[in-house]
Amino acid sequence: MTLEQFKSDVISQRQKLLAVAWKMLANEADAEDAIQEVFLRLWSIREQLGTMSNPGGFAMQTTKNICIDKLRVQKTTVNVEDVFPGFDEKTPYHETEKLDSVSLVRKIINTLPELQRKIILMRDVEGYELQEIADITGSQINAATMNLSRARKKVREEYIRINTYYKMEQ
Amino acid sequence: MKTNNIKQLLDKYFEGQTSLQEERCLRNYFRQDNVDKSLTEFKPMFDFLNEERKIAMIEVNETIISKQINRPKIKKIRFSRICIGTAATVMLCLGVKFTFFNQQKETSVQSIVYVDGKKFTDLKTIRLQTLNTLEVISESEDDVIATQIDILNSFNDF
Repeated sequence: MTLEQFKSDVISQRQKLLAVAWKMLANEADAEDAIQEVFLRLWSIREQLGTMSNPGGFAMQTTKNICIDKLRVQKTTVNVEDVFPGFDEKTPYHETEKLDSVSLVRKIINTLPELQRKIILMRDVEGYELQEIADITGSQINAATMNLSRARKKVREEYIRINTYYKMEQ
Repeated sequence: MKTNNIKQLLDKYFEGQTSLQEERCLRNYFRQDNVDKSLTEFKPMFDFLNEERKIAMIEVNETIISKQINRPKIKKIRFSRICIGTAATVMLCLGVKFTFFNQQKETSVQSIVYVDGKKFTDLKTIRLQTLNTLEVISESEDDVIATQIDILNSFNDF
């Protein structure tokens, strides 16, 4: 499925999907994020999507599933417990010293909110232009830029914080 | 690249304002060993990105190779077959011409094709044989070579 077909079959449903997400999440910002995640998820399976008889219906079901996941999930700030299981600021987990810095960055990125994680990977690994990311997520380029900036800053902050703590402990 | 320039690029990078080319400059800078001390804290992030991009490139190349292996083999048409194909087309055209002009008394227009001495008058067979012949002679050696070069160049793009 080309980007043009994706825009015509899936992005065109944006208002309808946003209305459903807003109703489920009762929050405009969360609904907007959810819809962008929906579009990113559908974009990642665009080849299969092209063979479906009703991609719009599939998009609706995906929206509901993502909203349900969001309602279940707890606050998704980066928690060092998620990065280093058993980590305790009072008693450092010595095995974390074995982790190299690249693995640390990978773990931090994996703990980002899903939308930020996907956008940073699309841009920094896959080389998508910001306009393409905006088109795929059905959003404006400013929103894509903002999410990308937040993701990069989060990775930087968490890496420096965790790395600085371990240097102090050594 | 000067350290101050890198610092300015990094500021832009974390604001999401860098172009793809500027990000490439940053990744290339952090790929080297003599990164300025004030910037070493950023190296792991770019090391991660360089590693992930390498993995992504390998996966793309594997996909291309896999598609190439499964691709129907391109027939290398020998020049002799091109001549035979051309001759067959000429015969076909002459056959149609003579049939059309010699049968003036006939009230109905009839299409005929001769294949290996056999006469065929149904339009479906005539159409298929004509298309087959045209397809064979359209694949010249130059077209085959050009296609092979395109495949090789697609590997160089990565």
